[in-house]
Amino acid sequence: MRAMHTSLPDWLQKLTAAVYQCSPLKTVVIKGLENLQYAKFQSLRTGRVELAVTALAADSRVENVEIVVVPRIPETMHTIIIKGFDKSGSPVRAILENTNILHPTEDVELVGFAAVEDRRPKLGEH
Amino acid sequence: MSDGRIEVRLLPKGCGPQHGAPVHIAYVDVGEFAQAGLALDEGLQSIAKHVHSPVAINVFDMEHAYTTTSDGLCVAGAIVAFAAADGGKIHPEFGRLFCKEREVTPATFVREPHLKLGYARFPGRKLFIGPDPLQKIVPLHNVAISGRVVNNNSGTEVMDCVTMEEMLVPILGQLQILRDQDILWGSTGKEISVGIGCTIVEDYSRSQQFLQCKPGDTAHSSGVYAQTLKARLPCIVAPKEVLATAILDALDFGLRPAAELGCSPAVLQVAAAYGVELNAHNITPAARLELAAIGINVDTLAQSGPALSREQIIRQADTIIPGVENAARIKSEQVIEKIRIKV
Repeated sequence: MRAMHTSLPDWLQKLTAAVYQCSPLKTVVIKGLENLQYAKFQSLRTGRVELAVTALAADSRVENVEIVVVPRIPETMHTIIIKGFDKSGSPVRAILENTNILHPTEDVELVGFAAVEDRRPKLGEH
Repeated sequence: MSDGRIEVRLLPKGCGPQHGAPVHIAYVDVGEFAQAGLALDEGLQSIAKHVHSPVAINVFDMEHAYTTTSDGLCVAGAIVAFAAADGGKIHPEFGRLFCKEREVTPATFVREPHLKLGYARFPGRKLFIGPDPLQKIVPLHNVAISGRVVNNNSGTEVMDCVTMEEMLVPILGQLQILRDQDILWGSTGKEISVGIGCTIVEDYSRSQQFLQCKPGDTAHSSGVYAQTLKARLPCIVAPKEVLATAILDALDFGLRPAAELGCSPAVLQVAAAYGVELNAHNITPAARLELAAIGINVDTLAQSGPALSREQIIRQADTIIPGVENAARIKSEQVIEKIRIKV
């Protein structure tokens, strides 16, 4: 694996392929990135995520794999970009605001799972 | 002697006005942990494990601590730690915070003059308001989050961020619960919505590390909309004579609205009824606008009638202090379950 960042389409394709390589009969769903049109992902961690997806997909008990991406920090500050255009589509005026959003932590996605292997490094050590 | 159990006061989820408490709320005195030989973290874990449902946990020190209200009143008892737990677990990174023990000296009063009262009145107690930011690994708000449970503003605002229900639990109401005394519950209304923004300058405050709102100003600065910010939330507060007493204590000590205290509707109305200086000249145009929108004219408030005595104000607190819609006064023991948890 080359030490470079992975593009969003590549990332989605790699994780989907990780499941299909184990069995084309198994399904995979990726949630949490629906609003992202462009992004780069850490390549090292993409490889680690691929390995984790493969490990689950290779488990004979697993039929469906779900991959959910949530903010690790449960209060995130976001910039709100408010843009106004004229009737020809030309920019007229924009305003930037920001807001904090409080999210549930990952625990809400893990209800019912007795076996959870936390492979994440501590915050600040990644 | 401890029997290997700790006593916890529990407000069950769904209990309360409107939709009720969005999550369970557990109140415990730190003395219970001490008697059982538990460190704070161990005590919090015990409660989380026992409740095993979404729960906000507030740990109080009723014997050795004091705290402040958002408008600068010093009162006995304080939250020293607050947590959020879901499914029996406290999130290891974001699930709990410990409040900072403040060192108060006369030099502190230059910046935070409202603390003079606590310094004089509670010499044996330590001041706790908000958390020590040094324990935070990322600069979050003063909030603990585990799963769906949010325990915000140092234990005074709880939410379920999946159902998105919320409840306001100002500190005086919680202190009533710890003392097994009456509480008032209802919907916040416009006066509380404006009042919680009429704060003071305070370090390590309940909402943020350095609260910069000078007495007489508004932290919300939302104009006519301040009255709607937190107006439709279920809340638990202290009966109004308790709030009136705390305000009168501060006024008798010589603290004044828009000077050392905030200019919240409650402080202004009690001060006006008591006939003391309101410092209207210190109330900023932004705060005036918010107050005027709920019918409080700071220039005419002082002339609204003859001054009342302390006893008269306490007796008439329900009519003098505005706020809380559909308010019902209840004995806290009617709704708080006392449980003993084996540790």
